[in-house]
Amino acid sequence: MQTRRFAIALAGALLAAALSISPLAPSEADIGHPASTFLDSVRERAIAGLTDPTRSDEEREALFRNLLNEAFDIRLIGRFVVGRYWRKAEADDQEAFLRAFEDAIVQRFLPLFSQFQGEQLIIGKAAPDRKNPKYTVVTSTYIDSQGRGVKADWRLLERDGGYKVFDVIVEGISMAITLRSEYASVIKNQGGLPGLVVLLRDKLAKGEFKPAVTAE
Amino acid sequence: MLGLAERQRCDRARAWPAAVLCLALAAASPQAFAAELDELEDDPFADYEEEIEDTNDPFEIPNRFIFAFNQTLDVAIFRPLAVLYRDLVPEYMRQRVHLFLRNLGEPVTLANDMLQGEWDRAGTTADRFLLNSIGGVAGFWDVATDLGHPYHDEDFGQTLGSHGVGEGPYIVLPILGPSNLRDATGKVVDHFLDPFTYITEEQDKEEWRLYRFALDGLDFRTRNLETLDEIERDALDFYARLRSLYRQRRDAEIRNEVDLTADAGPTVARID
Repeated sequence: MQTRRFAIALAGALLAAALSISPLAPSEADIGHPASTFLDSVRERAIAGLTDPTRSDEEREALFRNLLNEAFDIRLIGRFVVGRYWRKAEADDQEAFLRAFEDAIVQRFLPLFSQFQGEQLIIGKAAPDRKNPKYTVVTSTYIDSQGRGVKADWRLLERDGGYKVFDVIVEGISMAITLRSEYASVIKNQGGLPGLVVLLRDKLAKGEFKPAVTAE
Repeated sequence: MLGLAERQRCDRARAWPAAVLCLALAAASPQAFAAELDELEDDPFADYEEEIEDTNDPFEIPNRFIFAFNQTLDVAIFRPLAVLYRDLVPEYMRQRVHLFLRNLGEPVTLANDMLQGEWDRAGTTADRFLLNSIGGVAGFWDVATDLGHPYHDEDFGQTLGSHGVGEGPYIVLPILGPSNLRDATGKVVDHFLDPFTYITEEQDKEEWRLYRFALDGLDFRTRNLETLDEIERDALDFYARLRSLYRQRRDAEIRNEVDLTADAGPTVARID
């Protein structure tokens, strides 16, 4: 029984990773809340722009980085996943980490758009988080190319009069918390934030963040 | 090491067996609790949930050792067997095996549904077991899902959790992998809650338990070939990643996926 639950846990985590930006088909958003409308507009522009075969790889990457920074508060996420080590780190190291972190996200998620096979992300209702009203939680359902559905919650913060995603939670698994926990362990073992950046850069150079299908 | 969250959960413990276990766990380390408080006050992210901050892993060194041992076994034996099974046995047959094993687990789920006072879910589980054992030919087919009785899983670790028992320290079990004191205890209790244990004993067929265990493992590993590969691929610290995934997932399961949005996730009220 334990093993089966663990299987689900792992599947959930993988989906969490695949979901944070993945090929999204057009759908009707549950409009009414600006946070839902915002997410749906990002989804639509990502599909339209990133699955367009006439664009070059460089154009796609540039567009992806723009959308990423528009939709996600990468700075805040980066700071969160580094946790208590952020304050102890030099400003240069902090910046180097944020760059490597963004590059890793790009390498991990951009290729998914070229494998688009009719997956859908249906954006649902938005409501303040009951525990932390500072957050707005937007629900969504991700439907894969085989028609299987998974629920994902997007945790947004108000920023500059708009919204930015801070976390994606799939079947109870938070992307931000998972990375934070993993990075804390790496930083501790490497003796500081620069050690984490070295490992990230090393994996980036080997292309190891790429999803398996496109890795070969 | 017990975190704040565990203590709070302990305070909320309703059933006395849960409370007794709580006390046993809490007695383990009062100093760790004090140290944790200090650490929280010193942290700029002090209002994050403690359970996020704390890895809950006082036995990290032996745990990592067992993890490495498990990984070695996996690379040398379990994964290759799973690949063989996937490539040689048609998916249709593998699905029959999977459903049969799942049906065999329903009595334990039923017992835990009842121990949690989840009577509706207990009814669903009982219906499923009867329908699938008879209509599904010993569980090889899942006719109950089609009849509106979807599958869910419960175990004694979750039952303890639902009564407020904290997780206890993280433990990596040989072969079985990620667990914690509460869930490992739960496994032992589940063994004794399982009619299969008594049937095999009465029939003098204890070896059947081993066959079931092996088949369960093969089924699990095969179903997760791609997922596990993927999770390991871009991990910087696979051990730490699995530890976090296990913990979050168990927490969600104990809440039966209800109100996930209300509880999961960090607080960043003081980040700026």
